[in-house]
Amino acid sequence: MKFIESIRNGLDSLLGNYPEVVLYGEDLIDPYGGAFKVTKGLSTKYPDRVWNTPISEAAIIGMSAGMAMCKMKPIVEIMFGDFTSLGVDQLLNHLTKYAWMYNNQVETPVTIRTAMGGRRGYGPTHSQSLEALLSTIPGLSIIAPSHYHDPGRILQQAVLEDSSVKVFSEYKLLYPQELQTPNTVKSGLTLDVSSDVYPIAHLSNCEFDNPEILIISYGGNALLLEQVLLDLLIEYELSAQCALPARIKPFDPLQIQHLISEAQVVLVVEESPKCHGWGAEVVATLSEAGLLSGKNVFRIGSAETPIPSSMAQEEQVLPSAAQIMETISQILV
Amino acid sequence: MENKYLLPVEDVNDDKATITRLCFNDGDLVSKGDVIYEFETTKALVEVDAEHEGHIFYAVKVSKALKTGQVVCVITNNPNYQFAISNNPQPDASYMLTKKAQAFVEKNNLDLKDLDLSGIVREKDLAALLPNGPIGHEEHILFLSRSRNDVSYLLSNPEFRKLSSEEKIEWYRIQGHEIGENCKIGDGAVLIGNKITLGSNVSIAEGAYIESPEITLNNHVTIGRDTNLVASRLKLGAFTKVGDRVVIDISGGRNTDSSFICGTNCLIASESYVNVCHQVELGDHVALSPRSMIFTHSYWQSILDGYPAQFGPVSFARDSWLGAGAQVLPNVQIGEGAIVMSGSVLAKNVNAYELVGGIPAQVIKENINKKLSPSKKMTQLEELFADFNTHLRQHGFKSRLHSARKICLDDEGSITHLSLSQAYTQEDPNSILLVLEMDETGTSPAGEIYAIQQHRAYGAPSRVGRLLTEFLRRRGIYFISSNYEQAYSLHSSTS
Amino acid sequence: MNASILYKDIYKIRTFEEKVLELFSLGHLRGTTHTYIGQEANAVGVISNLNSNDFVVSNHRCHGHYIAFKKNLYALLCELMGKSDGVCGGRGGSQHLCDGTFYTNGIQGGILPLAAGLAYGAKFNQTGQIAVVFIGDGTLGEGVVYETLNIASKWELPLLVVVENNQYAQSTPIQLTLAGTISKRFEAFGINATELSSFDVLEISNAAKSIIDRVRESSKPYGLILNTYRFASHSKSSDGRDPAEVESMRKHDCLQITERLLQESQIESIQGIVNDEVEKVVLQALEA
Ligand SMILES: Cc1ncc(C[n+]2csc(CCOP(=O)(O)OP(=O)(O)O)c2C)c(N)n1
Ligand SMILES: [Mg+2]
Repeated sequence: MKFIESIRNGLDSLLGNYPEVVLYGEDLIDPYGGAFKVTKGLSTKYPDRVWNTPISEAAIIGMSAGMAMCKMKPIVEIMFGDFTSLGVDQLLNHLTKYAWMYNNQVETPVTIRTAMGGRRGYGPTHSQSLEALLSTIPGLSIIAPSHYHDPGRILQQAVLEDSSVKVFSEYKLLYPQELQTPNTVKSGLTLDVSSDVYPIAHLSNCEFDNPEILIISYGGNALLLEQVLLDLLIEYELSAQCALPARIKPFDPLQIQHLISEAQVVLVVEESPKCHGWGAEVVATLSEAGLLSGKNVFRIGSAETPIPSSMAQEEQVLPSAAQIMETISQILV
Repeated sequence: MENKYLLPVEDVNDDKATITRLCFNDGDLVSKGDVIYEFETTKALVEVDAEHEGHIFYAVKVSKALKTGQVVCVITNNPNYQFAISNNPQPDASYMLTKKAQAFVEKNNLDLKDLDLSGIVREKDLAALLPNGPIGHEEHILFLSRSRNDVSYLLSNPEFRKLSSEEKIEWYRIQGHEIGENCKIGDGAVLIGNKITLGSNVSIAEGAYIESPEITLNNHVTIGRDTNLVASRLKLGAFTKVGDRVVIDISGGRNTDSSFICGTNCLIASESYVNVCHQVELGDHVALSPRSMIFTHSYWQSILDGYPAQFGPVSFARDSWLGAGAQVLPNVQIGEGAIVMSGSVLAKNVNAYELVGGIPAQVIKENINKKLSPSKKMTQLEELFADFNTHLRQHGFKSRLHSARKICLDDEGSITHLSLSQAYTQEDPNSILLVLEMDETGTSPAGEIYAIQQHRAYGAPSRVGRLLTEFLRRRGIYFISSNYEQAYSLHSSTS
Repeated sequence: MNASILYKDIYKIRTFEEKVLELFSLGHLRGTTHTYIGQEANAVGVISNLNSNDFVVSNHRCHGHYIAFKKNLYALLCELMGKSDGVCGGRGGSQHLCDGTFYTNGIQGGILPLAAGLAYGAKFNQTGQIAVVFIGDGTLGEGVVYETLNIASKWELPLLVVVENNQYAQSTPIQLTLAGTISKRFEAFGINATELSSFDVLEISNAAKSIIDRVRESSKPYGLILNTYRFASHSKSSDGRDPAEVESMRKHDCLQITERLLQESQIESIQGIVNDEVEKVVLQALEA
């Protein structure tokens, strides 16, 4: 099954089984079915609960709070992740505030689905990964599964059982990817997905939990990292493991501390700017716990410039497998 | 003029599509508006029309999945157009070797044809597939095979040591070990191993005890009295000399790496101690002076009590020298031609041609060697040669400097020539040889050859030969006495 | 609607707000507070026509709306004082209240989507509730207001938007910031709106009643523009308005206008009851 189908099935099953679930956003009804076609077919099947909205990100995000307070389970699709910024006031000063500020008299179990990430040539305002930016909003959960997870199941779980305000980030390039299971991963790689509510997918080029290189990342970066793991194996037979938490905020990196003991290199990889990034937070937490002393620690992220439209230039700005390989080989080879 | 047709993005999420139809043959003429190919996305079949006129050439085959943006075809006015690069560079191999595995294949001359390989193949996967792969091999060298009769026999039977050298050699040969010609195993000496290989002229003195699953002593190796050598693998190169009461042991634990590997022409002087819980490796022509000590582990206490664990190999590159009583700690590498002063304690690596000393050893001087040209070397030798002539006369020989490179002398009636010459040997095209030749009458002893740069003497030494080596030794040129019997008979005759 | 009941709420709000200012000066309150003094007839007039399960969404100037809707002076005062008996346990303070179906937030305009979402929920669940949101004239500068009006109209949400035009946004008079008219704004989105310049609670209440009924019946949004005036300063800061202007507006005090409809004895008895309640609540809250 493809990533996109998994999410579509997840939405389908939510709408099919739970009348309180509604799904709305810009351009998502049939025949168009959403800018990335995720919702294709759903408005035909559930015409009352899947609808199009005007181009009003703030209003549609904000309204979801009111709906949630009326015991509905709204899912809002924001066409491009970049546009969540239009709704940041609603997320920051409204949605994530209500439950706490009102002393838990209300709940706002809202899910904002959105497509993030570059490498599609969409240029500066349609290619960003804003997880790190959004993660600075207290109380906002950020879920960013990879194709090594079961995104549809995680989405259902999030909508039904997680009462926090959630941004569900879908990496654009993942949509057409086949979901991977321990039996289907590329030769040379092993996959182990934890049984947490929001699972951590461990992708590895060795059998053991004590890799020489530990990579912590999430979402679509898995596409890059599966290549890195294979390159490390083929070029140098270096053991490396990649931990991909499905939920990156809140995420306690100490959950994976058992993987760090033998690692000589600890690498965090994200597609958003490295500066003030998610990786910085992960590294800081591990460091505060005293787990990184004597290790080579690197953050790999995008440059501090907008994301160019040109493929060649974009490659320079976003993290690349070659860049990661070079960083590692300078230390270990 | 060539017009490339790239596979377009038809659906937002598709990064691939499948070519379902190619409507022409390569080279066919097409006109604008002709349907030239058809592809299928996850959503639809799409036909693509020609926008140009000319000969069409396809870069792909039907039913091939293509990435969007890749070339599908070209329309050109060149009827013999050729694609420069293939669109599908990767052959469909069922397995792929890592770089290490590739090197392993080359090193071991493996034929992978009949092996059932799939996926990514690592070095260890190949090793495991081989009947005598390195893993089995390592186990073999790691432990003495106690099930082998000979080993248990040797370990449990002190009578064996009382046998004569010939009897012992005979016994080893019967057990399948390889013992070369002219070897001698002195009284009480014993070798215990699964696989023992002695070259020719190997000489093991009285009371020596050598125990290792794999023992290799190459030609002309000599082992001194009461020396104890124990390792997971023991290998001494030709002409290496191990002195008396030397100890090599594996305290600190046995490891696949607990090996002692020594090049040719090395000297491990008396009462040296080498710990090989990790590998110790000596390049060619390395000398460890008396009472040197080499450690491959340190710290006695447990890491659970907060002490560090330290294990690591030690290596000496060629031509290096460790002064008397010096100590080398784990994980130290000594560079080529380096000198460690007597009594030093070495905790850090030494670069090539450095002189280091002290506790802990510090660099005292860099680049201590000088590269002399062959002609300069000859000039120096010619001076020594003239001095040796004088030396001979002082010892009562009638000798005469026939030329700068030739001495004629009368040794109790037999005429001998001693000549200095530059020669081409296999080992070194610029070898310098000193040759003692028999006289024309043919009554003098067989010729002796002294290869100065190889530190090696060939032929049984005559009185003049002995004088020559003693003389040159004091001038900084030495020759390795290659045979235990010679070494000890010389020893006894001078004392 | 009974004038004495409306008067009681107006007087309650007035007395409470004056007490709040006093407690502020005595140092029992911190942060800021925006009093409703002068505008009481709006809250009382509109809210007196609501069902208790309707949604009321308000803004920074919310005490009046709260008292008119929920009437719980003690919980409100405790909230202002940051005490755990407050409506939000002291977490929200003056601008961030929640009690049942009553919600406020201190971000201008941002509450409109919330109100629209609640209206959506009411319609979706077919509960018959409506949502009323109160905003000030200054808040008309926020873009999200128009995003929401557009959607509320398009999706036919049972939402009443009450604009209390007190002529000022903080220190800035409306003439400096508002282009066009307020009613045209509603008109542009196809939303019917009524504009009322009145300080008479009965008049406001009557107008509100017919509008609220229409919202409930038609499930369509509606605008109610109430031109009004506040007597106290914007918040705890100084008042930049011309004192003469403020003084001249005193003749439009809704409290006095309502008193004229009642007998002296009625007024006395209501004031006595309310004064006692406020005194009691203050003592209780100070001790809480
Ligand atoms: C988004 C936002 N900007 C600015 C403020 C600061 N602020 C609080 S009240 C206010 C004036 C609001 O005027 P109006 O809407 O007319 O309401 P009024 O105070 O007159 O009742 C301002 C600017 C705010 N709370 N929120
Ligand atoms: Mg105002």
